[in-house]
Parts: sequence; structure tokens; C-alpha cells
Amino acid sequence: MGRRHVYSSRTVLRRILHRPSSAIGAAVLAVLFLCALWPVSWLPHDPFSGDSAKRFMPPFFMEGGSLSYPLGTESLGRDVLSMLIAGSRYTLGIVVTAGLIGLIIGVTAGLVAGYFGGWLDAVIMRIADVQLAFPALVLIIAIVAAFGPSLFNLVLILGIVGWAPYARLVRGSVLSLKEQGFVEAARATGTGTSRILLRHLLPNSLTNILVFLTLQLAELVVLEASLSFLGLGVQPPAPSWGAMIADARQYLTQAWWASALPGVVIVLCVLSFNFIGDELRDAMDPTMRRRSARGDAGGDGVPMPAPTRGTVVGGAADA
Amino acid sequence: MPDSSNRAPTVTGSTEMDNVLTVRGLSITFESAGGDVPAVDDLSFTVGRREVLAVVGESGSGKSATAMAILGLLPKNARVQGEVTVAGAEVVGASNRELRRLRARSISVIFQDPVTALTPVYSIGFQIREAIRLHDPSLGRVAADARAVELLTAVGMPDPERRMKFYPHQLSGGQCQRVMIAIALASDPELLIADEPTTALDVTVQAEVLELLRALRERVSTSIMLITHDMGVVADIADRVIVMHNGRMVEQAPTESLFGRPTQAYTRELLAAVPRIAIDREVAPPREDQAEEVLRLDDVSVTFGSALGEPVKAVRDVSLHVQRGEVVGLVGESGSGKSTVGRCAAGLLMPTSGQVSVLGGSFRGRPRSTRDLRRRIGVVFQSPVGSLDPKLTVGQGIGEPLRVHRGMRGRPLAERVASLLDSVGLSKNWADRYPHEMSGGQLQRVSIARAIALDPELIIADEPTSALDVSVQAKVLATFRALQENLGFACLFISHNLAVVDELCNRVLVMRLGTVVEEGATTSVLRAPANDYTRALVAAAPVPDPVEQRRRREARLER
Repeated sequence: MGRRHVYSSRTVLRRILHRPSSAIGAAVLAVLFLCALWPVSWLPHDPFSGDSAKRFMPPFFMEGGSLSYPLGTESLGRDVLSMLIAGSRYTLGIVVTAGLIGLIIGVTAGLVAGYFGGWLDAVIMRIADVQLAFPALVLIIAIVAAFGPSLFNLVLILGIVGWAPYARLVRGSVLSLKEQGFVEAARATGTGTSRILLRHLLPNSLTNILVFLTLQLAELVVLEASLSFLGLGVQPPAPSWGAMIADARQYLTQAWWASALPGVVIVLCVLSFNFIGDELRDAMDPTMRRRSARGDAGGDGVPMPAPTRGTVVGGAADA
Repeated sequence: MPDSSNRAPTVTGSTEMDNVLTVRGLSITFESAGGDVPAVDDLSFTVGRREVLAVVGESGSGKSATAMAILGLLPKNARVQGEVTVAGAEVVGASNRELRRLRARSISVIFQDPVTALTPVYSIGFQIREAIRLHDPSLGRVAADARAVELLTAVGMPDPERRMKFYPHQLSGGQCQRVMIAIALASDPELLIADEPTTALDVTVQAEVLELLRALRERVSTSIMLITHDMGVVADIADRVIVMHNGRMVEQAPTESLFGRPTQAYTRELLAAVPRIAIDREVAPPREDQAEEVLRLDDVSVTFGSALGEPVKAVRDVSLHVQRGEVVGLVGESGSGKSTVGRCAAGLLMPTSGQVSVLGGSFRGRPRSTRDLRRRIGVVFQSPVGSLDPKLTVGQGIGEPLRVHRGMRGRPLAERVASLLDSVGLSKNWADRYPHEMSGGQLQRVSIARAIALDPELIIADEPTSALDVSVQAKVLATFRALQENLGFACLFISHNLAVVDELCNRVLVMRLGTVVEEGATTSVLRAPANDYTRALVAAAPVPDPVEQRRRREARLER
């Protein structure tokens, strides 16, 4: 890490909303999160039970469709739109909680391993290596099979499985940060270890962590959908996108919409997370930004010497 | 040794034809998100054949931007106006193809940091050969190899045939700079641009590289445009000097008249800011009385183990002591172990053997007592940018020790921070600025404010002004000395700059290869050094006085 930048959340947000891809991503996610918070009782139809007389009604834009069931119905006569909205609550709830669990475990492990080093570092990182070497899906299936499928188990497992990359990421940035003068200065003045970790090292690693979290959430959406598709995730009759695809699969010829539409929603959701993650990474990459123009008044009045003087571009750009 | 009168004609009587480089009305503006930033304003000068022109200025004066404009290497957001003619070819507005030809044939450049300017994955032989064949594609491999060895011999590389196969990391910094110069000479350039060529090197190595540049000028008749902030280097090698400030030329004169009779106030200021080892300075003599010792190191050794190869002995049996209120200098070149000693004294590193006692205590004690020790010492580091947490405001950074040790909060904390800012010469309104909004000198003042926040009895300062421009360095040192006199803390002052140590310290220790080679009162060690190495070190530090530099050079040759 060469020169270090501070990013105001406002400039990053503005940048995200100005790029078409990430602006669309942000809009889609905003709608999905709104759906997740939408009360079940306000839905047009009950997503848990349906009217069997109204099985396989097509969406409104097809022949025989009606606007009272805008996206049609599935094999039990439940309204697909209501199920999708209710499903967003499960998917996003699981994904965000699991993502945060993984983040907290991984960041803690990475901070400790990077800062203290020695045998603690070796032990933590070898566990992370083993974790990463094991295919996540196989591990999750084995654990769910052993402990039984439940919402609580699912969140916990998805969370725990995702800690290792955070640990590696944070450990790496702590290793370079702790050699910096400001950490040494804090140690030299007798600042406590926990304060150094939480007040100096964590905030300085946070930008990388946020970028990774966003990209990780996209992966978790797919993972959760896969597990629900396999019947190991959210249990019926609770509607989840993955489970909806699985249930409607056998009636694909009669009612393609009942399995295709949840698939479309999953794709949109994953793409949105990825778009935002990519844009966040670019927005926070120091090489993609210019220096802030403020702060040239008073004092010694000389701009900071460029650390990259030896290189052609750096030397000129800073002169 | 040609005497200076031989060079005189190129200085004044040059005609248009003789000039290797002509710059006329050069202006450079950088376009940025926050508006246009002018870097160079209406600059005109020439470099004659076989002339050494020094361009001097502080960071931000536009000297490096000028060099990049001459090379056609400015970034895309730069707007260039004016004329730049190198060896008869116009640079401004030239196509990439023409620029590449020009760089291959007529101009070469040497950068500040030789270690990063060489590609680490190729042998130096490969890199020199590449430059040779770019210049003359007709040469075969064997002929290019022979020429590379010839160039390495010319730049004084010992055992050049064998060194051809070496990679940059196997060479020292000075040797890497010799390789860079060999690469620069591969194209028989008419103009050699040297951008701070010795700034990253130790003084003794710097003297060798300057010697080499001077010898080359005599032998291969290359003109040199030397960009530097170091007036000592200028005095040593330049024929003519341009002083730049805020993108404009302030003064232009032959070297000896510039140093002898500077006409502009800014030039005088710049010259006055250069720290010098004064003949008759009043330095308080070291205390002979049995005053209390605040820091004592007894036979301290530090060994860095490495997984592969031999463990490195960075420090060997170093003993030193600092008495209350005394400023002790620790001098040495890179790799001498001086910073390692400083880290031991600050309790950031435990010595492999030996005793460190600070204020009567030890860092090996229980956590509570070491915490108490740390409260009573302050630390200042070299890098102004790395020393402050980029995510904390200046006020939070200075306030941290106060929060941690005194539990100060709210108004009392804000008031104490304001008075600390005031004592290091910064406005108290700056407390809510972030480090990236400040200059290097301002940041170093903040570091000092943080170090004195708890009224320490001892301060460990590791090269606190080495990353700063000379004029800024002079101001920061003045602030530091005033604080030391007012607050009376003892200080272990680590530096590679003998003149800075001379200004500040009562006593000095000289380190080389992990051991102390000489110690004593500053006045006696620096003015009448007893040790050969100390003598070489004092002689190698360039002074801003061309006459004195020539005298020293001749003295070196006679030896």
C-alpha cells in the first residue's frame, strides 16, 4: 500500500449512482430490500397456501392471464408474485446475516493473526487453508445432513463457511499496516492492543472488507438458492427462490413461468451485487483516483513529497 | 583535474548552435478534478554542450515537471505550451514515434531511486544490452555484450564481466545507480537528465556517484541537466544554476557567483536553510556532572533471524546513555543499525542480548510498569505520511495519548490539543483536518505535537526531518529546538545528516555496521574526528560552497 487515501462515503456513493451498471444494480437491490421488508399481510395473495382451482394460471401478458395474478400461479395455485416478494425476505435475510457472521469471524481472526503473528497466526491461517481447500457446497451438504435442515442451521453454516477469505484479506492488510509509523507510534505511547486493533487497524482495512462483502453476498445468494433447490435450505411451505425453481421444475412444460421467474430474480440479484462490488472496488482503488485538491493553505505550504518519485508517471504527476 | 576556467566559455558565450537543449516559454498546467493546477510558468533556459546545468527548487517548484516535459513523458492530463528543442528536434507536440526515436538517440534519464528504476526480473546485463540494441539495432549479441561490459567498466563497476549476470537485488544502491548511468550512456546521449540522482544514496556513495558523473562529462562530452534540492550537490558539480520557486525561474547564474553573491531573496533563504557544520557554533558542552540518566543501553545486540541463510547481526554490543535534558545524536549511513538501536530504546523491539533501561525501568517488566514507562517517552518517526493514521483527524491523532493515559475527553482534551498545535506552530483550527490534506512539514509538526502531548522526559526521534525539503527542515528543526529548550526533555536524535546533528546535539555517537565507532562531544567529533570512517563521513557530506567542494575534491585525489 503506497500512498493512503481517505474516501468520503458521499463521493463513493455519488460515483456508484453515476455509472449505469452500478446505478441499475443499486435500483434493483433497493427494490428487493423493499420487498424483503414488505409485510406479508400486505401482499396481494397468501404466499403460503393457494387455491387449487387456480393452478397454473399464466402471467398477465399471456393468453388467459389476469392482472389479479400478474405473474401467474404455480402447481398449488399460489400467486408467483407474492411468493417472489415473500421469498426475498428469506433469501436476503439469510444472505445478509450469514455474510455478516462470516465477516465478523473472519475479520477478527485476520486481525489477531496479522497483529500477533507467531504460532497463533500459523494455527489460524492453516485452519483457513483447510477451509478453503474443502469445496464449500459439499461441506454444507454434509453439515446440514448431520444437523438437519433448519433456518437457524442454514444461516450459521453459510456464515461460518465464508470466514476464511476475510481472514486472509485482513491479515494481509494488517501485516503491511502494522509496520507503518502510526501503529508503531501508538504502541510506543502505550496504547492498548485492543484500541490499536479496533481504532487503527480495523478502519484502515475496512474499504477492502466492504468491497469483498458485496461480492461475497452475490455468491451467498447463489449458494442459498442451490441449497433450497436441493431441499436442504428453507423448508416448504416457506417460499424461497431456490425452492420455487425446484417445486415448479416437474411442471416446466405446463407452467414455465413458475420456475423461470424465480431464476430471473436470482440472476438480477446476483448481477446487482456484482455490479456494485466492482464499482466499489474501482472507486476505492487509489490508482483510479486523483488526490483531493483541498488543503494547500498556511503552514509550511509545500505539498507532500511524492513517495513514487522514482517512477516516470508518479514523478511528473506530483511535481 | 581541469580547473574551472576551462569550463567558463560554455557558461556565457554559447550560441544557439552550441545548445543541446533550448527551452523557450515553457508552461505546464495539470488538469484535475479540483480545477487546473499550474506547475510551470513561462520558463526559458538553455543547456550548452558539455555543460552541467543544475535546476534547484523545493518539491512543488516544477523542476521534475520540466524534466518530464523535455522527455515528453508528462501524463495525459498535462497541458504544455512553449518550445522545447533537444538536439535540433522539437519535443512539444511531437508524435509518440518521434519521441521514442529522440529518447533512444539523444536524451537519457537517471531517476532518484535506482533500485525501483531497474526491472527486478532481468539481469543487469540484459537491461544494459536492451538499451544498447535499441540505440543501434545492427549490433549482434556478442558485440552488444562487449559494449555493455565496456559501459560497466566506464561507470566504475568492479568485476564487470561477472556482474553482467547479477540481478538488481544482488547489488547495493550505489551499484544500481552505476548500472542506471551505464544504461543512460548506452545511447551516447547528447543530454543526460539526472532527476535527484543521489538523493536516495548515502553520503559516501553520493560522493562516488558525483565523482563518476563529473568524470563522464570530461570523457564522453555529454551535457547534464541535474535536478536536485541539495545545494551541496549543486556546489559540487554544476557549472550553472537555475533556481525555481512555484513554477517560475527565480534566479539564473554561474555556480560560483550564485553561491558567492545570490541576488534574489529566495535564493539567499534557500542557501541559509541548508544545515552546515559550523566552525564556531555555540553548543552546550556535554554534562560532566553525575546527572540522572534517562536512557541507558548496555552491550545491546540485535540479531534478525532469517528462515534462509545466516542470521543478520544488525547491532553489536552498543552501549550508550542519555542524561536528563541532554540531546544525543546517533549518526550513521543506511544499514548501520541506528534505527534498530532507536527501536530498542523506544521499547518497540527487544534486544537479543544486553540491557535497556529507560527512566530507571525496563520494558521487560510487568505490563503495568511498561505502560507507565511509555507514558514518559515520546517517539517521532521519519515518514510524515506513514506516522499518522489516515482515518483519524489530526486532533484525534494528537489526542490519543491523552485519552489513553489521562482519560481526557471533551473540552479539556480539545483545549490541550489546541495548545499543543499552537506550540508546534500550527493553527488550532487544523485539529479536524485529515492527514492527506496537509503537507509533509505540517504532518511532521503534528507528529512532534503527539510526541510531546504527555510532557515526556525522553523523546526518541528517528530521522524526523529527512523526508522534508531543506527550508521546511530548517523551520521544523527550529521548532523542535525551541520545544526542547522550553520543555527540557532529553532526546536521542537519530539522523544520517551530520549538519543537522551538529545543530541540535550536545553529544554524538557514530555508528557503522552495527557498532559505535566513535563518540564524544559534538564539537570534537564532527570538527576533529579521530576515526577514519567518521572523517570520511564528514568529508563526503557536500557543503553549499563550490570553492570548499573543489578543495575537498583535490584533497581526496591527493590521498
